[in-house]
Amino acid sequence: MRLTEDQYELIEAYLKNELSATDRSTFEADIQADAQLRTEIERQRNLRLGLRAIGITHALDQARIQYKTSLLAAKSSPKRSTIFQSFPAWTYWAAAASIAVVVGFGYLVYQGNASWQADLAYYETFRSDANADLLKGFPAENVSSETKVTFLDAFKNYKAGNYDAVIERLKNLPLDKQTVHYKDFLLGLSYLSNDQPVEAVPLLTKAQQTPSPELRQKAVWFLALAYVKMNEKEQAIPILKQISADKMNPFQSLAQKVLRKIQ
Amino acid sequence: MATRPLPGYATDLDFYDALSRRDERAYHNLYATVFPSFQRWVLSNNGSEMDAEDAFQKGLMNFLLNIEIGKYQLQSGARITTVAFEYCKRVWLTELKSARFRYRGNMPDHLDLADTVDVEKDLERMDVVYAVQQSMHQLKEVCRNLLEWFYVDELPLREIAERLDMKEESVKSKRYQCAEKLKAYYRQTTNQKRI
Repeated sequence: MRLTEDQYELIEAYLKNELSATDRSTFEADIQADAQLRTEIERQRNLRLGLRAIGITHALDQARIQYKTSLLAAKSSPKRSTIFQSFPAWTYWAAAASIAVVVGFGYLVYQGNASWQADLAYYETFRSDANADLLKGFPAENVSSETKVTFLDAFKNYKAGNYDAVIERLKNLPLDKQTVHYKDFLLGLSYLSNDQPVEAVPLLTKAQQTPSPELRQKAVWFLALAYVKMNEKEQAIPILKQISADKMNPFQSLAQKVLRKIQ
Repeated sequence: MATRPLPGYATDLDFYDALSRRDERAYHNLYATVFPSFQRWVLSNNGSEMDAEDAFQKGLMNFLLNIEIGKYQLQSGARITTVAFEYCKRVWLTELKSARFRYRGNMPDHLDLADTVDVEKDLERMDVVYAVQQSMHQLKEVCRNLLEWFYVDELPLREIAERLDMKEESVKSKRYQCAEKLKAYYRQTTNQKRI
């Protein structure tokens, strides 16, 4: 049953409890009498529930990232204080030497901060693409059932966080024209998720040759993140600027966020 | 109602209200307070770190969804962090019960499995949620953005109209068209999966 715009708005108002008492009881009488209407309402209720859950998932992802980032920050700070404490300030010669050391330490802190900012930007914006998004760009209609099974197995492992298993499964997969770009993408993404950005970069670079615009956008975005993870800003920034300038790119706001963090 | 102070919140009721508004600080607070102890609990009950994270996400999702739809309402004397822990714990008990984990053996004798039924129902609800998420990904970018802005980010139509450079009335019609497309994809997905 396809609803008219008025019917759709009426169901929305009913589900949001925005109808007047009279309208509500009239509508409930209609619902009692019409099984199709009941089905439509149930479906619209489920859609609202699912959309609500998407919002909660986003907020939970942010909380998880914040938590992991705070752990990362907590782990990195004791190291810095250890370096600092290891310089005794009470001997004359050490005081003299400490001038050179302070310059060196300042550089270390600067480098540490720069890399920490990059890590922060990376963790705040890296979503491991573990949802249905993963399937976007996969040429499902043009591949053999055997290849499909291989990839389905890889998706399953990826979603479960078994990145090693995905890498093992895909890296020796024979070359296949239909799936080569997708394979490069998924393999690159798995390396990146496994904290191996160096291995991810060449694969995500190759994946950009795909004819699928959606897959290309994802490959470019994750390539930029791999460079961010490696703290190679001169490689990451031009790509991020390009994404940031593209209004239609789904990663536009994330790219802008990373740029703000690392520039 | 509970009046014990919480880090950042004067009472559990304040904490509950903040969670129901999807307040970022409340989410972070909940995650940081409950996760470490839950992880230790899973590790000592046949689970790995990854199991802990997975069960924790599912448990919190169910808990927070129940708060938002009014299925869970804060009871007098209840502590939010304890309730959240309980939700996550029950998810892990359900996982332990499931076939996936039977082969591991060593089911802890002291775990009470009788009260996981509600959680199983909540977890079944997640099939609907995943089907909606999958259907959203089938929509074109403009529809997905519009529906997310309206239903997920709860932006007013006026602001969405500005973002899309459209009239507010046109955005309203577009929202209806996009929602109908989403519904069609959702119908296909649920038929395929027999949800």
